[in-house]
Amino acid sequence: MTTSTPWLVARTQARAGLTTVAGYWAIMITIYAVIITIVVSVGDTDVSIWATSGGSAPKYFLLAIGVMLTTAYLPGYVGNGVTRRDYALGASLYVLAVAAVYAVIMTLGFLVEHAIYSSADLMGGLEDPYPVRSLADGLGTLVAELFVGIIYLCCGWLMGTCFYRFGAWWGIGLIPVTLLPVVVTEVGFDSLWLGYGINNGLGIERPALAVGVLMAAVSVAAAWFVNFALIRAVAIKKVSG
Amino acid sequence: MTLPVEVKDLTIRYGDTVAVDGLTLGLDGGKIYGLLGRNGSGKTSVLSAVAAFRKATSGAVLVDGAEPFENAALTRQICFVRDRVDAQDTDQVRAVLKMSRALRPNWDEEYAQALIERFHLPLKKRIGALSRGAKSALSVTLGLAARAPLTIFDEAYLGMDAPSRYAFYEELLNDYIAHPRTIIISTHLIEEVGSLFEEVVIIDKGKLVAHDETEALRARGVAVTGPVEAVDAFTAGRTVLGDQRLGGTRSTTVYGQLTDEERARARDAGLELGPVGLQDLFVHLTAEERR
Repeated sequence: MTTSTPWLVARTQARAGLTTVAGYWAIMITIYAVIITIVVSVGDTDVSIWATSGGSAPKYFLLAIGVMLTTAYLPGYVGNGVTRRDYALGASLYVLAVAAVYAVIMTLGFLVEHAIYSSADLMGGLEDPYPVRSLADGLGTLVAELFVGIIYLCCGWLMGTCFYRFGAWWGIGLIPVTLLPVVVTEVGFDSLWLGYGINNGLGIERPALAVGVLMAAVSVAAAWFVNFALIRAVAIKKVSG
Repeated sequence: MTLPVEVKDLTIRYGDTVAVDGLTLGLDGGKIYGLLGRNGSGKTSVLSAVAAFRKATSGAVLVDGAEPFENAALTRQICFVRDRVDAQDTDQVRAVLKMSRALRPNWDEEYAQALIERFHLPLKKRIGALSRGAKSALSVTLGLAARAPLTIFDEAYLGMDAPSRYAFYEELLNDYIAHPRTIIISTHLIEEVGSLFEEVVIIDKGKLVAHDETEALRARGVAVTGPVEAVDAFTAGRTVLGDQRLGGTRSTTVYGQLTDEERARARDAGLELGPVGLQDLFVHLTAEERR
């Protein structure tokens, strides 16, 4: 049985890229472990350290991974006889895998931190209720983080494609447009910090999970289809010196 | 399996710049072609369109009778090797080879290993740390081991030193004989690699200047060798492509074919006649005053 090309791309890309993903999370978790050890020693905190640290850095990392998908990896695949269409489909599977890793780690992080805060008697000092307090909260967080992961990867990918296809100046100019789906998704899930900040600033209540999922799904579809259309006709440039 | 290539009225523009200007060209399958042209003549643009690396502005490119752009059945049968490796500077050589092994349907791992050994490729080094020669060696290794029915080398081996280049020519010819395919070589090292070409295509300013079998092309001119005075007398009034002198002997290359009568006269004058060098012919056909 011959393996389909998109699947082959996804597998090859996972082999090439998951080491970087694993390396990032190892560093992130190590830093978190140091901070939480200090917090537990001090015995006082008013926020979830996991939500605070996980609210920005991992998302920027996903954005960067997305940027590289066209700019760094596409030429190598086309150079090996893969069509842009098959690459886009295969890379999308890779995006799903990376986003799933992000969502699972983020959700597990809350569960672990909840246990730590409970055993260290830190829950009482929190300003807001702890983000994950039940199985339903956990599942909701998993779904929300999955969409957040996908949208950051997709928008990073779209941003990279715009730079690759239209050049640096147009790429810079289009950044606000390429990040619009991220903003919509963050608002939909009231995510830290962008969505939370906008909702707080405008006095908007946290939308229901179903509304957030709908907003995110539309955003992902829009980013993915525009990116797909741009990739299909892009000319391949030279990549190494 | 070999793939024929047909280019029909191909035009490629970059903004206001016309890189390829209505080029029409037919290449039969199963031959080694030399694609010659000055810098900026449109060689890479033509090859990029053939290899589905870019779309034509207008006109058509057909490989085995079909458009290659986004045609999965064709693109996997085409290998376009450029002067730079299509990989990141941070990629290790072995990772680049592994990727081709995974994606290239005709990849010959045993042959790849033999080429790695022959070109002394450092597998653990990153692309950015390779010398220009090693990068070229990696490029040609990828191109040869892929065994693609249409293989294109676009100045892929320019960074290699002379012994490595000759090793590449030897590998190319031997592997072509063992596994016939369509090979297009774009190069500036015309004299060095010219003997490999079965047909030569010369383009200039995006237009076709000449396309012929190599020997037929070389017969478009004559190298006249003999005593200085005799050569001077015989070549007077002709278009001179090149001239070399050693002591009392001169070798002058002239453009244009000789009649039987002229050949007999040359022999009577003690002159030797030979085919024109490809490079001399190329320089003449793409000279500034002809542009």
